[in-house]
Amino acid sequence: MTLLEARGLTVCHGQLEALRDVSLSVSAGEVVAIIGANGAGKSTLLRTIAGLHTPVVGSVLMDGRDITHLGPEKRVAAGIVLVPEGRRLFASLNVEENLLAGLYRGRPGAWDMAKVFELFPWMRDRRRQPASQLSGGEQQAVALSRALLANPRVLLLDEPSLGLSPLALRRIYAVLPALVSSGLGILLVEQDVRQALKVADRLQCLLEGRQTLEGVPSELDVEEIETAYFGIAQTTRNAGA
Amino acid sequence: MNVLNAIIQGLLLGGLFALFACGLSLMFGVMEVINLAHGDIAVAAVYLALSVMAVTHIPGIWVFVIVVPIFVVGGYFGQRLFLQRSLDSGPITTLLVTFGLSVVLQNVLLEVYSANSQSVNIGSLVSGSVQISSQIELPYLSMIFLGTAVVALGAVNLFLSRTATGRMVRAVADDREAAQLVGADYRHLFGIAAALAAGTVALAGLALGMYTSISPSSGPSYLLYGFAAVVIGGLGSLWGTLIGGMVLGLATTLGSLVDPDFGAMLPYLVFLAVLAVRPRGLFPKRALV
Repeated sequence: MTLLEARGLTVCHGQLEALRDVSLSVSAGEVVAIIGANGAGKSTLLRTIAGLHTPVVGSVLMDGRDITHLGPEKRVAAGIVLVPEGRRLFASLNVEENLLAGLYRGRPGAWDMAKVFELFPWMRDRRRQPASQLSGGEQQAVALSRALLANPRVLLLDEPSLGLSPLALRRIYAVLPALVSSGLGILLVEQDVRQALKVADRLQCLLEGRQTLEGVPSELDVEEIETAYFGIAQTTRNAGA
Repeated sequence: MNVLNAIIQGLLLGGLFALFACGLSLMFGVMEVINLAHGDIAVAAVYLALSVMAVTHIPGIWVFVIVVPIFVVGGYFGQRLFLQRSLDSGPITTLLVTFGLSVVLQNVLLEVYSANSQSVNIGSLVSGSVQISSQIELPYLSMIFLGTAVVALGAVNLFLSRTATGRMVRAVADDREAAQLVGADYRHLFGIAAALAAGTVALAGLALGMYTSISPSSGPSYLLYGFAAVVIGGLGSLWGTLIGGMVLGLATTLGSLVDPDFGAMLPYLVFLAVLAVRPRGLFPKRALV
Protein backbone atom coordinates (compact mmCIF):
# COMPACT_ATOMS: atom_id res chain seq x y z
CA MET A 1 0.00 0.00 0.00
CA THR A 2 1.57 3.28 -1.09
CA LEU A 3 1.52 5.84 1.70
CA LEU A 4 3.64 8.67 0.42
CA GLU A 5 4.19 9.72 -3.14
CA ALA A 6 6.19 12.53 -4.69
CA ARG A 7 5.57 13.30 -8.35
CA GLY A 8 7.99 15.23 -10.52
CA LEU A 9 9.28 17.56 -7.82
CA THR A 10 11.27 20.58 -8.95
CA VAL A 11 12.46 22.78 -6.10
CA CYS A 12 14.40 26.04 -6.33
CA HIS A 13 16.34 27.95 -3.70
CA GLY A 14 16.18 31.40 -5.24
CA GLN A 15 17.86 31.10 -8.64
CA LEU A 16 19.39 27.76 -7.84
CA GLU A 17 17.56 24.64 -8.93
CA ALA A 18 18.03 22.15 -6.10
CA LEU A 19 15.82 19.36 -7.44
CA ARG A 20 14.59 18.60 -10.92
CA ASP A 21 11.78 16.23 -11.72
CA VAL A 22 12.28 13.82 -8.81
CA SER A 23 9.63 11.21 -8.07
CA LEU A 24 9.42 8.57 -5.40
CA SER A 25 7.01 6.52 -3.37
CA VAL A 26 7.11 4.93 0.06
CA SER A 27 4.83 2.08 1.12
CA ALA A 28 3.98 0.85 4.58
CA GLY A 29 6.74 -1.34 6.02
CA GLU A 30 9.25 -0.31 3.41
CA VAL A 31 12.63 1.44 3.67
CA VAL A 32 13.51 3.65 0.74
CA ALA A 33 16.99 5.11 0.80
CA ILE A 34 18.12 8.22 -1.05
CA ILE A 35 21.84 8.38 -1.61
CA GLY A 36 23.97 11.00 -3.26
CA ALA A 37 26.96 13.25 -2.72
CA ASN A 38 26.95 16.52 -0.80
CA GLY A 39 24.67 19.05 -2.44
CA ALA A 40 22.84 16.45 -4.52
CA GLY A 41 19.51 17.68 -3.13
CA LYS A 42 18.81 14.86 -0.67
CA SER A 43 17.97 17.12 2.26
CA THR A 44 15.96 19.42 0.03
CA LEU A 45 13.91 16.42 -1.07
CA LEU A 46 13.09 15.40 2.51
CA ARG A 47 12.40 18.99 3.55
CA THR A 48 10.05 19.41 0.62
CA ILE A 49 8.16 16.28 1.60
CA ALA A 50 8.01 17.54 5.20
CA GLY A 51 6.61 20.84 3.94
CA LEU A 52 9.54 23.15 4.68
CA HIS A 53 9.98 23.91 0.96
CA THR A 54 7.27 24.29 -1.65
CA PRO A 55 8.04 22.78 -5.04
CA VAL A 56 7.81 24.94 -8.14
CA VAL A 57 6.53 21.98 -10.12
CA GLY A 58 5.23 18.63 -8.95
CA SER A 59 3.18 17.40 -6.06
CA VAL A 60 3.40 15.51 -2.78
CA LEU A 61 0.64 13.04 -1.97
CA MET A 62 -0.21 11.21 1.23
CA ASP A 63 -2.78 8.39 0.90
CA GLY A 64 -3.45 9.78 -2.57
CA ARG A 65 -4.40 13.16 -1.12
CA ASP A 66 -2.52 16.18 -2.49
CA ILE A 67 -0.67 17.85 0.40
CA THR A 68 1.74 19.95 -1.69
CA HIS A 69 0.54 23.19 -0.14
CA LEU A 70 -0.08 21.93 3.37
CA GLY A 71 2.14 23.59 6.03
CA PRO A 72 4.78 21.45 7.76
CA GLU A 73 2.92 21.52 11.09
CA LYS A 74 -0.19 20.04 9.43
CA ARG A 75 1.74 17.21 7.80
CA VAL A 76 2.61 15.85 11.24
CA ALA A 77 -1.08 15.14 11.76
CA ALA A 78 -1.16 13.44 8.36
CA GLY A 79 1.58 11.11 9.61
CA ILE A 80 4.71 12.55 7.98
CA VAL A 81 7.45 13.28 10.50
CA LEU A 82 11.00 14.37 9.69
CA VAL A 83 14.03 13.75 11.89
CA PRO A 84 16.04 16.70 10.59
CA GLU A 85 19.71 16.74 9.71
CA GLY A 86 21.83 17.66 12.70
CA ARG A 87 19.09 16.39 15.09
CA ARG A 88 17.83 19.86 15.94
CA LEU A 89 16.86 19.17 19.55
CA PHE A 90 15.48 22.07 21.55
CA ALA A 91 18.63 23.18 23.33
CA SER A 92 17.04 24.87 26.34
CA LEU A 93 14.62 22.00 26.97
CA ASN A 94 15.60 18.91 28.89
CA VAL A 95 15.43 15.40 27.45
CA GLU A 96 11.93 14.72 28.72
CA GLU A 97 10.61 18.04 27.43
CA ASN A 98 12.12 17.34 24.03
CA LEU A 99 10.31 14.00 23.98
CA LEU A 100 7.04 15.57 25.15
CA ALA A 101 7.30 18.03 22.25
CA GLY A 102 6.80 15.01 20.00
CA LEU A 103 3.42 14.41 21.63
CA TYR A 104 2.30 18.04 21.15
CA ARG A 105 0.41 17.55 17.88
CA GLY A 106 1.21 13.93 17.18
CA ARG A 107 -1.25 11.28 16.07
CA PRO A 108 -2.59 8.84 18.64
CA GLY A 109 -0.88 5.48 18.37
CA ALA A 110 1.34 2.82 19.82
CA TRP A 111 4.20 5.13 20.79
CA ASP A 112 4.19 6.73 24.22
CA MET A 113 6.81 7.74 26.78
CA ALA A 114 6.86 4.29 28.37
CA LYS A 115 7.63 2.65 25.04
CA VAL A 116 10.42 5.11 24.31
CA PHE A 117 11.99 4.44 27.71
CA GLU A 118 11.73 0.74 26.94
CA LEU A 119 13.57 1.28 23.65
CA PHE A 120 16.25 3.56 25.17
CA PRO A 121 16.35 2.77 28.90
CA TRP A 122 19.08 5.36 29.64
CA MET A 123 16.66 8.16 28.77
CA ARG A 124 14.51 7.54 31.83
CA ASP A 125 17.39 8.21 34.22
CA ARG A 126 18.65 11.19 32.29
CA ARG A 127 15.34 12.78 31.39
CA ARG A 128 16.05 15.91 33.47
CA GLN A 129 19.33 16.58 31.70
CA PRO A 130 19.48 19.46 29.19
CA ALA A 131 19.39 18.05 25.67
CA SER A 132 22.46 20.09 24.78
CA GLN A 133 24.59 18.04 27.20
CA LEU A 134 24.00 14.75 25.41
CA SER A 135 26.49 13.12 23.05
CA GLY A 136 25.74 13.05 19.33
CA GLY A 137 24.45 9.49 19.43
CA GLU A 138 22.25 10.20 22.41
CA GLN A 139 20.90 13.31 20.72
CA GLN A 140 20.09 11.28 17.62
CA ALA A 141 18.23 8.77 19.79
CA VAL A 142 16.22 11.59 21.39
CA ALA A 143 15.49 13.12 17.98
CA LEU A 144 14.32 9.74 16.69
CA SER A 145 12.18 9.17 19.79
CA ARG A 146 10.69 12.66 19.54
CA ALA A 147 9.62 11.81 16.00
CA LEU A 148 8.28 8.38 16.96
CA LEU A 149 6.14 9.87 19.75
CA ALA A 150 4.21 11.72 17.05
CA ASN A 151 3.26 8.24 15.79
CA PRO A 152 4.24 8.80 12.18
CA ARG A 153 3.18 6.57 9.32
CA VAL A 154 6.09 7.72 7.20
CA LEU A 155 9.32 8.59 8.98
CA LEU A 156 11.81 10.79 7.14
CA LEU A 157 15.38 10.36 8.39
CA ASP A 158 17.92 12.92 7.25
CA GLU A 159 21.50 11.66 7.64
CA PRO A 160 21.01 9.88 10.95
CA SER A 161 24.64 8.72 10.85
CA LEU A 162 26.10 12.23 10.61
CA GLY A 163 28.75 12.78 13.26
CA LEU A 164 28.03 9.52 15.08
CA SER A 165 30.58 6.98 16.30
CA PRO A 166 30.30 3.52 14.66
CA LEU A 167 28.82 2.15 17.89
CA ALA A 168 26.22 4.91 18.18
CA LEU A 169 25.42 4.42 14.50
CA ARG A 170 24.81 0.70 15.01
CA ARG A 171 22.54 1.44 17.96
CA ILE A 172 20.39 3.79 15.91
CA TYR A 173 20.17 1.44 12.95
CA ALA A 174 19.43 -1.51 15.23
CA VAL A 175 16.09 0.11 16.02
CA LEU A 176 14.89 0.36 12.43
CA PRO A 177 13.83 -3.26 11.67
CA ALA A 178 11.30 -3.31 14.51
CA LEU A 179 9.85 0.01 13.30
CA VAL A 180 9.53 -1.29 9.76
CA SER A 181 7.86 -4.51 10.82
CA SER A 182 5.28 -2.46 12.71
CA GLY A 183 4.23 -1.04 9.34
CA LEU A 184 6.09 2.23 9.37
CA GLY A 185 7.37 3.49 6.03
CA ILE A 186 10.85 4.98 6.17
CA LEU A 187 12.45 7.39 3.74
CA LEU A 188 16.12 7.53 4.57
CA VAL A 189 18.72 9.98 3.35
CA GLU A 190 22.19 8.62 3.90
CA GLN A 191 25.67 9.57 2.78
CA ASP A 192 27.04 6.30 4.06
CA VAL A 193 26.13 4.21 1.01
CA ARG A 194 27.04 0.86 2.58
CA GLN A 195 24.73 1.57 5.47
CA ALA A 196 21.95 2.56 3.08
CA LEU A 197 22.42 -0.61 0.99
CA LYS A 198 22.18 -2.72 4.11
CA VAL A 199 18.81 -1.46 5.32
CA ALA A 200 17.02 -0.32 2.17
CA ASP A 201 14.34 -2.22 0.28
CA ARG A 202 14.73 0.24 -2.57
CA LEU A 203 17.40 2.73 -3.42
CA GLN A 204 17.38 5.99 -5.32
CA CYS A 205 20.41 8.03 -6.21
CA LEU A 206 20.47 11.77 -6.72
CA LEU A 207 23.14 13.66 -8.63
CA GLU A 208 23.01 17.44 -8.80
CA GLY A 209 19.29 17.44 -8.13
CA ARG A 210 18.41 14.78 -10.68
CA GLN A 211 17.48 11.20 -10.21
CA THR A 212 20.23 9.03 -11.70
CA LEU A 213 19.40 5.55 -10.46
CA GLU A 214 16.59 3.59 -8.93
CA GLY A 215 16.49 -0.04 -7.93
CA VAL A 216 16.61 -2.83 -5.40
CA PRO A 217 20.01 -2.95 -3.62
CA SER A 218 20.59 -6.66 -4.33
CA GLU A 219 20.11 -6.10 -8.04
CA LEU A 220 22.46 -3.13 -8.34
CA ASP A 221 26.18 -3.58 -8.77
CA VAL A 222 28.76 -1.32 -7.20
CA GLU A 223 29.85 0.14 -10.49
CA GLU A 224 26.34 1.20 -11.38
CA ILE A 225 25.95 2.91 -8.02
CA GLU A 226 29.32 4.66 -8.26
CA THR A 227 28.46 6.05 -11.64
CA ALA A 228 25.11 7.29 -10.47
CA TYR A 229 26.63 8.72 -7.30
CA PHE A 230 29.63 10.55 -8.73
CA GLY A 231 28.46 11.05 -12.28
CA ILE A 232 31.74 9.75 -13.67
CA ALA A 233 31.36 8.51 -17.23
CA GLN A 234 31.83 4.77 -17.61
CA THR A 235 34.62 5.24 -20.19
CA THR A 236 36.76 7.32 -17.83
CA ARG A 237 36.48 4.63 -15.20
CA ASN A 238 37.47 1.89 -17.60
CA ALA A 239 40.41 3.90 -18.86
CA GLY A 240 41.59 4.34 -15.31
CA ALA A 241 41.24 0.64 -14.55
CA MET B 1 16.35 57.46 54.35
CA ASN B 2 19.22 55.15 55.22
CA VAL B 3 20.96 52.61 53.06
CA LEU B 4 18.94 49.62 54.25
CA ASN B 5 15.73 51.44 53.54
CA ALA B 6 17.01 52.41 50.10
CA ILE B 7 17.84 48.79 49.35
CA ILE B 8 14.36 47.63 50.38
CA GLN B 9 12.70 50.36 48.33
CA GLY B 10 14.99 49.54 45.43
CA LEU B 11 13.98 45.90 45.42
CA LEU B 12 10.30 46.83 45.62
CA LEU B 13 10.71 49.20 42.69
CA GLY B 14 12.84 46.64 40.85
CA GLY B 15 9.92 44.24 40.79
CA LEU B 16 7.94 46.80 38.84
CA PHE B 17 10.78 47.35 36.36
CA ALA B 18 11.08 43.61 35.90
CA LEU B 19 7.34 43.23 35.30
CA PHE B 20 7.51 46.04 32.76
CA ALA B 21 10.54 44.57 30.97
CA CYS B 22 9.48 40.91 30.94
CA GLY B 23 7.30 41.43 27.85
CA LEU B 24 10.20 42.99 25.97
CA SER B 25 12.32 40.02 26.89
CA LEU B 26 9.61 37.54 25.82
CA MET B 27 9.04 39.20 22.45
CA PHE B 28 12.75 39.22 21.74
CA GLY B 29 13.41 35.76 23.15
CA VAL B 30 10.61 34.04 21.26
CA MET B 31 10.38 35.85 17.94
CA GLU B 32 13.31 38.28 17.95
CA VAL B 33 11.00 41.28 17.81
CA ILE B 34 12.27 44.46 19.42
CA ASN B 35 9.02 46.13 20.33
CA LEU B 36 9.57 49.89 20.26
CA ALA B 37 5.92 50.45 21.19
CA HIS B 38 6.29 48.54 24.47
CA GLY B 39 6.26 51.68 26.64
CA ASP B 40 3.34 53.16 24.72
CA ILE B 41 1.32 49.99 25.24
CA ALA B 42 1.83 50.42 28.98
CA VAL B 43 0.67 54.04 28.72
CA ALA B 44 -2.33 53.01 26.62
CA ALA B 45 -3.29 50.60 29.41
CA VAL B 46 -3.35 53.51 31.87
CA TYR B 47 -5.65 55.58 29.65
CA LEU B 48 -7.92 52.62 28.97
CA ALA B 49 -8.08 52.11 32.75
CA LEU B 50 -9.11 55.75 33.23
CA SER B 51 -11.94 55.32 30.72
CA VAL B 52 -13.05 52.04 32.28
CA MET B 53 -13.08 53.68 35.72
CA ALA B 54 -15.07 56.64 34.41
CA VAL B 55 -17.72 54.36 32.94
CA THR B 56 -17.94 51.56 35.52
CA HIS B 57 -16.78 53.38 38.71
CA ILE B 58 -14.69 50.33 39.52
CA PRO B 59 -11.99 51.15 42.15
CA GLY B 60 -8.56 51.93 40.65
CA ILE B 61 -6.84 49.05 42.38
CA TRP B 62 -9.19 46.52 40.71
CA VAL B 63 -9.30 48.00 37.23
CA PHE B 64 -6.65 45.52 36.04
CA VAL B 65 -9.30 42.80 36.12
CA ILE B 66 -10.87 44.40 33.04
CA VAL B 67 -7.85 46.02 31.38
CA VAL B 68 -5.34 43.16 31.46
CA PRO B 69 -7.58 40.61 29.67
CA ILE B 70 -8.29 43.18 26.96
CA PHE B 71 -4.55 43.59 26.39
CA VAL B 72 -3.95 39.85 26.45
CA VAL B 73 -6.50 39.34 23.68
CA GLY B 74 -5.23 42.44 21.87
CA GLY B 75 -1.67 41.15 22.09
CA TYR B 76 -2.59 37.83 20.50
CA PHE B 77 -4.50 39.32 17.59
CA GLY B 78 -2.08 42.22 17.19
CA GLN B 79 0.63 39.65 16.65
CA ARG B 80 -1.41 37.46 14.32
CA LEU B 81 -2.85 40.26 12.20
CA PHE B 82 -0.09 42.90 12.07
CA LEU B 83 3.24 41.83 13.49
CA GLN B 84 3.28 38.43 11.78
CA ARG B 85 2.95 40.06 8.37
CA SER B 86 5.94 42.27 9.08
CA LEU B 87 7.91 39.33 10.53
CA ASP B 88 7.40 37.50 7.25
CA SER B 89 9.15 40.34 5.45
CA GLY B 90 12.21 40.70 7.66
CA PRO B 91 13.51 42.12 10.95
CA ILE B 92 13.86 45.72 9.75
CA THR B 93 10.19 45.81 8.77
CA THR B 94 9.24 44.64 12.23
CA LEU B 95 11.30 47.37 13.84
CA LEU B 96 9.63 49.97 11.61
CA VAL B 97 6.15 48.58 12.31
CA THR B 98 6.61 48.74 16.09
CA PHE B 99 8.08 52.22 15.77
CA GLY B 100 5.05 53.22 13.71
CA LEU B 101 2.75 51.68 16.29
CA SER B 102 4.50 53.75 18.95
CA VAL B 103 3.89 56.99 17.01
CA VAL B 104 0.27 56.07 16.26
CA LEU B 105 -0.48 55.13 19.88
CA GLN B 106 1.03 58.37 21.22
CA ASN B 107 -0.97 60.49 18.82
CA VAL B 108 -4.25 58.64 19.29
CA LEU B 109 -3.88 59.03 23.06
CA LEU B 110 -3.03 62.72 22.61
CA GLU B 111 -6.08 63.20 20.41
CA VAL B 112 -8.50 61.35 22.70
CA TYR B 113 -7.20 62.23 26.16
CA SER B 114 -5.24 65.52 25.62
CA ALA B 115 -1.65 66.09 26.71
CA ASN B 116 -2.50 66.46 30.41
CA SER B 117 -0.72 64.18 32.85
CA GLN B 118 -3.04 61.79 34.61
CA SER B 119 -2.78 58.98 37.10
CA VAL B 120 -4.92 56.08 38.24
CA ASN B 121 -6.63 57.16 41.45
CA ILE B 122 -6.40 54.52 44.15
CA GLY B 123 -7.44 56.73 47.06
CA SER B 124 -5.60 56.54 50.36
CA LEU B 125 -3.57 53.47 49.32
CA VAL B 126 -1.18 55.74 47.46
CA SER B 127 0.28 57.23 50.61
CA GLY B 128 -0.25 54.52 53.24
CA SER B 129 2.64 52.56 54.62
CA VAL B 130 3.72 50.16 57.32
CA GLN B 131 6.31 51.43 59.80
CA ILE B 132 8.78 48.60 60.46
CA SER B 133 11.23 50.62 62.53
CA SER B 134 12.13 54.25 62.96
CA GLN B 135 14.30 53.95 59.84
CA ILE B 136 12.30 51.63 57.60
CA GLU B 137 8.80 52.04 56.28
CA LEU B 138 7.18 49.97 53.61
CA PRO B 139 4.64 51.80 51.44
CA TYR B 140 1.57 49.68 50.68
CA LEU B 141 1.85 50.57 47.04
CA SER B 142 5.44 49.33 46.68
CA MET B 143 4.55 46.09 48.40
CA ILE B 144 1.58 45.64 46.09
CA PHE B 145 3.87 46.22 43.11
CA LEU B 146 6.43 43.70 44.22
CA GLY B 147 3.68 41.20 45.10
CA THR B 148 2.04 41.69 41.70
CA ALA B 149 5.36 41.41 39.89
CA VAL B 150 6.29 38.21 41.72
CA VAL B 151 2.86 36.63 41.13
CA ALA B 152 2.71 37.68 37.46
CA LEU B 153 6.28 36.68 36.64
CA GLY B 154 5.79 33.45 38.60
CA ALA B 155 2.65 32.70 36.61
CA VAL B 156 4.40 33.38 33.29
CA ASN B 157 7.27 31.18 34.39
CA LEU B 158 4.94 28.37 35.46
CA PHE B 159 3.08 28.60 32.18
CA LEU B 160 6.32 28.40 30.18
CA SER B 161 7.87 25.61 32.22
CA ARG B 162 4.90 23.40 33.10
CA THR B 163 2.29 23.50 30.35
CA ALA B 164 2.47 21.83 26.95
CA THR B 165 1.81 25.13 25.19
CA GLY B 166 4.40 26.95 27.29
CA ARG B 167 6.92 24.24 26.52
CA MET B 168 6.30 24.74 22.81
CA VAL B 169 6.73 28.52 23.19
CA ARG B 170 10.20 27.78 24.53
CA ALA B 171 10.78 25.20 21.82
CA VAL B 172 9.85 27.65 19.08
CA ALA B 173 12.25 30.18 20.65
CA ASP B 174 15.03 27.57 20.41
CA ASP B 175 14.35 26.35 16.89
CA ARG B 176 11.32 27.44 14.95
CA GLU B 177 11.70 24.92 12.15
CA ALA B 178 12.18 21.96 14.48
CA ALA B 179 9.06 23.08 16.35
CA GLN B 180 7.12 23.04 13.10
CA LEU B 181 8.35 19.51 12.50
CA VAL B 182 6.61 18.31 15.67
CA GLY B 183 3.40 19.97 14.52
CA ALA B 184 3.62 23.36 16.20
CA ASP B 185 2.00 26.32 14.46
CA TYR B 186 4.63 28.93 15.26
CA ARG B 187 2.30 31.82 14.43
CA HIS B 188 -0.08 30.70 17.16
CA LEU B 189 2.79 30.34 19.65
CA PHE B 190 4.13 33.78 18.69
CA GLY B 191 0.62 35.09 19.34
CA ILE B 192 0.64 33.53 22.79
CA ALA B 193 4.02 35.07 23.59
CA ALA B 194 2.70 38.46 22.41
CA ALA B 195 -0.42 37.99 24.57
CA LEU B 196 1.76 37.35 27.63
CA ALA B 197 3.90 40.36 26.77
CA ALA B 198 0.92 42.67 26.33
CA GLY B 199 -0.76 41.40 29.51
CA THR B 200 2.31 41.88 31.70
CA VAL B 201 3.16 45.30 30.28
CA ALA B 202 -0.45 46.44 30.76
CA LEU B 203 -0.22 45.34 34.39
CA ALA B 204 3.09 47.19 34.77
CA GLY B 205 1.57 50.25 33.10
CA LEU B 206 -1.33 50.29 35.55
CA ALA B 207 1.14 50.08 38.43
CA LEU B 208 3.10 52.99 36.96
CA GLY B 209 -0.12 54.95 36.57
CA MET B 210 -0.82 54.50 40.30
CA TYR B 211 2.72 55.37 41.29
CA THR B 212 3.24 58.44 39.16
CA SER B 213 1.42 60.56 36.59
CA ILE B 214 1.49 59.62 32.95
CA SER B 215 1.07 61.55 29.72
CA PRO B 216 0.63 60.24 26.16
CA SER B 217 4.31 60.85 25.47
CA SER B 218 5.63 58.96 28.54
CA GLY B 219 6.03 55.63 26.76
CA PRO B 220 9.53 55.95 25.25
CA SER B 221 11.15 56.92 28.56
CA TYR B 222 9.76 53.76 30.17
CA LEU B 223 10.88 51.79 27.16
CA LEU B 224 14.44 52.91 27.91
CA TYR B 225 14.21 51.50 31.43
CA GLY B 226 12.81 48.29 30.00
CA PHE B 227 15.67 47.98 27.53
CA ALA B 228 18.18 48.61 30.28
CA ALA B 229 16.64 45.86 32.44
CA VAL B 230 16.57 43.41 29.53
CA VAL B 231 20.13 44.12 28.42
CA ILE B 232 21.56 44.03 31.95
CA GLY B 233 19.95 40.65 32.52
CA GLY B 234 20.82 39.17 29.13
CA LEU B 235 18.61 39.30 26.04
CA GLY B 236 15.71 36.90 25.98
CA SER B 237 16.10 35.44 29.46
CA LEU B 238 13.20 36.02 31.87
CA TRP B 239 15.20 35.39 35.02
CA GLY B 240 17.91 37.69 33.74
CA THR B 241 15.27 40.36 33.20
CA LEU B 242 14.06 39.98 36.78
CA ILE B 243 17.62 40.50 38.05
CA GLY B 244 18.07 43.39 35.61
CA GLY B 245 14.93 45.05 37.00
CA MET B 246 16.20 44.63 40.55
CA VAL B 247 19.58 46.11 39.63
CA LEU B 248 17.85 49.12 38.08
CA GLY B 249 15.58 49.57 41.09
CA LEU B 250 18.51 49.45 43.48
CA ALA B 251 20.51 51.87 41.33
CA THR B 252 17.59 54.30 41.35
CA THR B 253 17.03 54.35 45.11
CA LEU B 254 20.69 54.15 46.10
CA GLY B 255 21.53 56.94 43.66
CA SER B 256 18.76 59.04 45.16
CA LEU B 257 20.50 58.78 48.54
CA VAL B 258 23.27 60.91 47.08
CA ASP B 259 21.10 63.23 45.08
CA PRO B 260 17.65 62.86 43.44
CA ASP B 261 19.08 63.65 40.01
CA PHE B 262 21.81 61.10 40.50
CA GLY B 263 19.04 58.57 41.22
CA ALA B 264 17.74 59.11 37.71
CA MET B 265 21.22 58.81 36.20
CA LEU B 266 22.77 55.92 38.12
CA PRO B 267 20.64 53.20 36.42
CA TYR B 268 22.07 54.24 33.05
CA LEU B 269 25.61 54.32 34.41
CA VAL B 270 25.10 50.77 35.69
CA PHE B 271 23.65 49.85 32.30
CA LEU B 272 26.74 51.24 30.53
CA ALA B 273 29.04 49.51 33.00
CA VAL B 274 27.36 46.15 32.40
CA LEU B 275 27.54 46.67 28.63
CA ALA B 276 31.23 47.48 28.90
CA VAL B 277 32.13 44.53 31.12
CA ARG B 278 29.60 41.91 30.01
CA PRO B 279 28.24 42.94 26.61
CA ARG B 280 25.86 39.98 26.52
CA GLY B 281 24.38 40.77 29.93
CA LEU B 282 24.77 39.19 33.34
CA PHE B 283 23.00 35.95 32.31
CA PRO B 284 23.76 35.41 28.65
CA LYS B 285 22.31 31.89 28.61
CA ARG B 286 20.03 31.79 25.64
CA ALA B 287 16.94 30.31 27.31
CA LEU B 288 13.62 31.85 28.22
CA VAL B 289 13.25 30.36 31.70
